[in-house]
Amino acid sequence: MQTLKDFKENIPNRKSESYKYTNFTKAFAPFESFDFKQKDFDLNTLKVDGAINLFVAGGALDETSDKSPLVHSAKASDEVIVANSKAFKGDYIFNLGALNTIEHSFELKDKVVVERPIFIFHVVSNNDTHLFHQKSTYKIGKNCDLKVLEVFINTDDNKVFFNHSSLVDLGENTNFLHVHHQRFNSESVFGLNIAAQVAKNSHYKSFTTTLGSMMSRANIHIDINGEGSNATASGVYTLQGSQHSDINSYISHNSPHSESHQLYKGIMNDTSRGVFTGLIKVQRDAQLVNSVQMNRNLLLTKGAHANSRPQLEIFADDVKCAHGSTTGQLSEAELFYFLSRGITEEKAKMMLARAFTYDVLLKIDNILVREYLHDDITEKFENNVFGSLDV
Amino acid sequence: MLQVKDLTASVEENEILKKINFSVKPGEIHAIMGPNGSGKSTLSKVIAGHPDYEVKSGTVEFSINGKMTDIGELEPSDRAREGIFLGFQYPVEIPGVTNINFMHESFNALCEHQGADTMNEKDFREYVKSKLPILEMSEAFLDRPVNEGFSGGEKKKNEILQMLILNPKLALLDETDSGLDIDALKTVANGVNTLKSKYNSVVLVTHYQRLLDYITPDFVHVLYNGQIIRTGDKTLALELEEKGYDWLIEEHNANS
Repeated sequence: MQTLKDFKENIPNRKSESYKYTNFTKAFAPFESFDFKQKDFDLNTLKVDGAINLFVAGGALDETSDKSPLVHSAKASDEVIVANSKAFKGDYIFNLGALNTIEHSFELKDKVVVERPIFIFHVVSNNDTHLFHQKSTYKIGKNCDLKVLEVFINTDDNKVFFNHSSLVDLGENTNFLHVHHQRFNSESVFGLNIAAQVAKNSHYKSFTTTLGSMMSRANIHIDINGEGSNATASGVYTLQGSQHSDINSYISHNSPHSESHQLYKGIMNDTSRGVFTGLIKVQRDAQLVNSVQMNRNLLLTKGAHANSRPQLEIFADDVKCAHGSTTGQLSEAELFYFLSRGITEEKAKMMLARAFTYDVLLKIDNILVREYLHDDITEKFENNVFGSLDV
Repeated sequence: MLQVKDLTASVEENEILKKINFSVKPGEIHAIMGPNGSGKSTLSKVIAGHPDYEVKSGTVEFSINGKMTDIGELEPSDRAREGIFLGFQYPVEIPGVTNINFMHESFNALCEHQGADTMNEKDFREYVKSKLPILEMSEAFLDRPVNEGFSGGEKKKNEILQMLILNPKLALLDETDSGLDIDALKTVANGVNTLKSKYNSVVLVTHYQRLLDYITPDFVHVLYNGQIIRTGDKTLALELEEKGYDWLIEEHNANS
């Protein structure tokens, strides 16, 4: 049986190379209990027209959820999860046998094309500060098409520590757009672990946003296991105040004739910090791989920081890989162009910041999902940083 | 409409303009000519309020609500809202912002300030489309990111398109003719002539006389070493074309 003490001892800190810029030790101090208890909150207020809305609240799938083609089951367990299992490289960000874990399993049978996007709302509404550990497994069949937006949200000002893991197993010839959108309040801590297995001729499209939380870390691990398979890993982090976001992506090409595209973009305001570490690994027999990785950061203030580490490890000899990183400020020349046309400085900055993330949001090939993110970024980031401007 | 008095301006402590005086009345077209490095571009940027330049002394007055007003303290965006337009020599590319969206924001900002009705997206597009033939531009340009991937000539046409849409009281066109082939030059000149009315004034900053074959200036000023060393009518431009600037500079040096 694991204890809270064990949990705390396993919290990652800067001693580990992979956490060079991110120390979670301090963030844990206020979180003392594990609990999934919910207080009343009208989940229907979150519903989005045109989407299949699922609510995961208090550790269960709420009955107000829409009917979904995903076959769902949940179980609570306090078993020790075996890290470094053959299939997945670690189940959680915080390498521990979690207590009071809730496991959700979602399954899609072969040959199912889901036209409407599925919005899964992970809702925390609680009176206290709490730790949550939750694992979702996705087993998606062959010849499927699926679009899922997972929204992590708390409905009040209480701190939450949310440790989430998405484990994805993709069948052959399947497309899966999988968005993790985190908009917790600015006191919260978020750990996200994504581990995906991509089979032959399949395309896994991961997108992550960091909009809320005081501190967050996302590990995105994709194994490309079949010929003709493809992974897109992209995301955006828009940070303000003293927010800290750390993205760590790892894409492993285990098979020839495969592709991957990564684009992560960050905008940092105030004294926030955005960290990106990305690794493309091409295994010895994975010839004729095409892989691109890019990280771009925009600093809006002198006090904001970006750390970026794009990395390649290539063991095959006939591959095409590119990677890069840029960090800069708003261009004075571009800004003056707006001003000279009568547009105010605040609005000009907002339009330029929005333009900065424009191309990465286009990676989301579903308009309902994309607009949901766009509106949230406008409400939670742009309106705070630039003032409420009508554009 | 515009009155520049004893204007001295510098960038990083280098004095670029030295006691410039000139004035523009409504409906007039002025050409500012001069050799490279004479301060031509600086003059238009200082009037538009570019933050890189510091006005050391002198004033720029502009007609606001029918009253000549010192605009030295006005932000560049406020100057634009009052009706000053700067056409850039090197228009920047703005990836991620569509041309039509950019112009729409700009247009509505000016309308709001001037107390006119703003336009919705659909009406604005129709309005812009009505101006495209003047510049021989296709509608596709409106949905592309601002200036991104435009050729040199297309960028300049896009500047003139914005000018026509905003209908400024004073258009400062900084080397709008540079890098244009003869056909594009005629098109751009046609655009400028379309703006010309008894209310709109234009200041053309140009290195060469050839633009003035298509746009007839009322006054030609020659700028050298930060000073206006000669003002004349359109025949001065022709004289410069024939003889270059050296004779004027020599004359100026002999007198001072």
